[in-house]
Order: sequence, then structure tokens, then C-alpha cells
Amino acid sequence: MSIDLKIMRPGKLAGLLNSTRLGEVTSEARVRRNIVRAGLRVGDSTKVNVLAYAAWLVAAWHARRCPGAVGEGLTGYDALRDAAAARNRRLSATGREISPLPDTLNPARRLSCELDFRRFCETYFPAAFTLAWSGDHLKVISKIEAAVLHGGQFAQAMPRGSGKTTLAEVACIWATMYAHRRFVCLIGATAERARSMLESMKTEFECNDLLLEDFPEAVYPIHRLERIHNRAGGQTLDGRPTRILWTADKVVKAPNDLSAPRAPAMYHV
Amino acid sequence: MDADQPNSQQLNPAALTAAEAARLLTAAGGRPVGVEVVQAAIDAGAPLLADGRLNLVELMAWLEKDLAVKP
Repeated sequence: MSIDLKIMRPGKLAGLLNSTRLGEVTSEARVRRNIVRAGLRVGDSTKVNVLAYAAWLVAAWHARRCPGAVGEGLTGYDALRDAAAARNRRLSATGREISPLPDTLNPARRLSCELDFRRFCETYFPAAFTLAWSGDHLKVISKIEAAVLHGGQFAQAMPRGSGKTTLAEVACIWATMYAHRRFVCLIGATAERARSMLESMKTEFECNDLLLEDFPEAVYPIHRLERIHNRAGGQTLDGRPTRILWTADKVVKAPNDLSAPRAPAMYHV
Repeated sequence: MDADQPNSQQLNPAALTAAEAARLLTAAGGRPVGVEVVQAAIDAGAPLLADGRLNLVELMAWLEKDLAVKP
């Protein structure tokens, strides 16, 4: 079947374009819209010059691919709109990008706490643990450390106000900062209490400068949200999504090593 | 027109080299379309025939499809 590529009805052109091995790629309505954008040199509502339409398609594709080339294919308001859209996309991408990632300020300090939960508490949470440890505290710390590093279960009962909750929250942070554990369950007596504990941990991620200094790969992206949590969805580091989820009931923080294909840490109420 | 460069009437739109496609589109659109632009489309995934030539309709279909994707 011979086809006249000079003059064709828009509907027939759409059918022709949908007949290739690529399958359905367009519609008559889209072809008509493109004809309007391209102007009278390509056609009108009843007929289209297929070769001129092809030339316009190539130019429009090139203009989108190379924003600096705007004007080769689009004219007037279309060119202005596409240039503005390209500029906005560039600005948006720049605003979402948080690189460069700072280096760990004190690698030795970080390393010294990797397998030592007590040292982690004393080093990174001096404001929370201001008093000397009691014998019971040390026993609990030892049990938490063993459970996080090697697994296991134990029941912890201590007097009210002795730091049970704070120890449990910091244990969650320790377990995930060093990737000892990826999924941590911190269970509260009620959902409201659990949310309160999650909020407390979120405050540490946002405000604890020592964590920021030594765990920048995990904490720096959170700091860059600047408490505007809907930024999390689009945040990128070196062009890659940080994949943070930061809501009242759920926190998924960036993986400790953003270059590794490992799951991020998750806290969930 | 150069004697060794066929005009658009002599080209087969179903089997074009990148250079031929660029010439055809330039003549049809009234604005220059560089070979590098056609080559960029090929590099970006525009379908080719087994002999490495372009079918103009397939190129158009691919461009329609690519342009329909939100940037």
C-alpha cells in the first residue's frame, strides 16, 4: 500500500503512527494539538503535511532535550513556556539536591562506639545521660547491647523516671546508625506514647549536632529538610533520591551508605 | 543542489540514513535539521532497521512517544 506522505488527515496520520512496531504512541487529538503548536506551515484541522510534521517533531524533541536550542522547533508562546518550564526544572533540581555530603568529623569517635552501647550513650547523648550509671543501668545497657548485636530477648523493669524510655530510644538509634539492625520495633503502651517516643528520636536526628558530625550520611539529609518534611520526597544527593520518609507515624531514614543497595532504616508506630 | 546529493523526491522514507533524514526534514520543514540531531535521536533509542537505516514513520512514532512522556 503506497502512502502519500505529503498530505494526510490528522486522524489517518495518528493511525499511521500507531501502526509501527512501537504500538500505540499517539492519538488524533494529540496530533491535532501538535499541528496547532507547529502552525500553518505543517497543516490545519483537515490536513497535515507529514514531512513538515516530522520536521517539527524532530525540532520539538531536540528543543526539549537541549533547552538551549529552544527556538529551533517552537515559536512564540510555546517557546517561552518551554523555556520557563526548563528553567523551573533546573531550579527545582538544584533546590532538591543537597550535595556535597560532609565528611565524618571524628571517625575515631564514631568507630569507638560501634560495639559499645554505653560509650555511644555517653558520647553522643551527654545531655540525656547526665548522672552516673547505677549498677542496674549498666546491667540493662549490657543486655541491650547483646540483644542488638547478637539477638535475644529480655524483660526490663526499672523504677519510673530512671531512664528506661531514653535508653530504649537511644538503643534504636545506635542499632540503626551502625546498621546493626535495619528494622526496629519500639513499642509503646499506647499509640500516642509510641508517637511521643518516635517524636523524641526525630528531635535527636534533627537537633543532635554530634550525630550530625559523625553520621552525616544518615543525619545530614534530615537536617537539610529544615523541618519542612514534604521536601523529603524530592530530596536528592548526587542526583539520587535519599528516600527519606518523615511523618508523624513513620520514619524511613536514608541508608547509612547511600552508594550501597541496602534497605534504609525504618521506625514505625 | 549537489549532483551527488539526491533530492527529497529520490529518497525512500522507509529507509533513510541519518544524513538523508536530516536533508529530507530540512527541505520539508524549511528550517535546518542537523545530522547530529537525527543521530542524537538514534542514540537516545529511535528504532533502526536491520541495515541501520531509519524508517521515517517509525522515527515519527518514536518521537511522538518520547514527547508524550513528561520531562
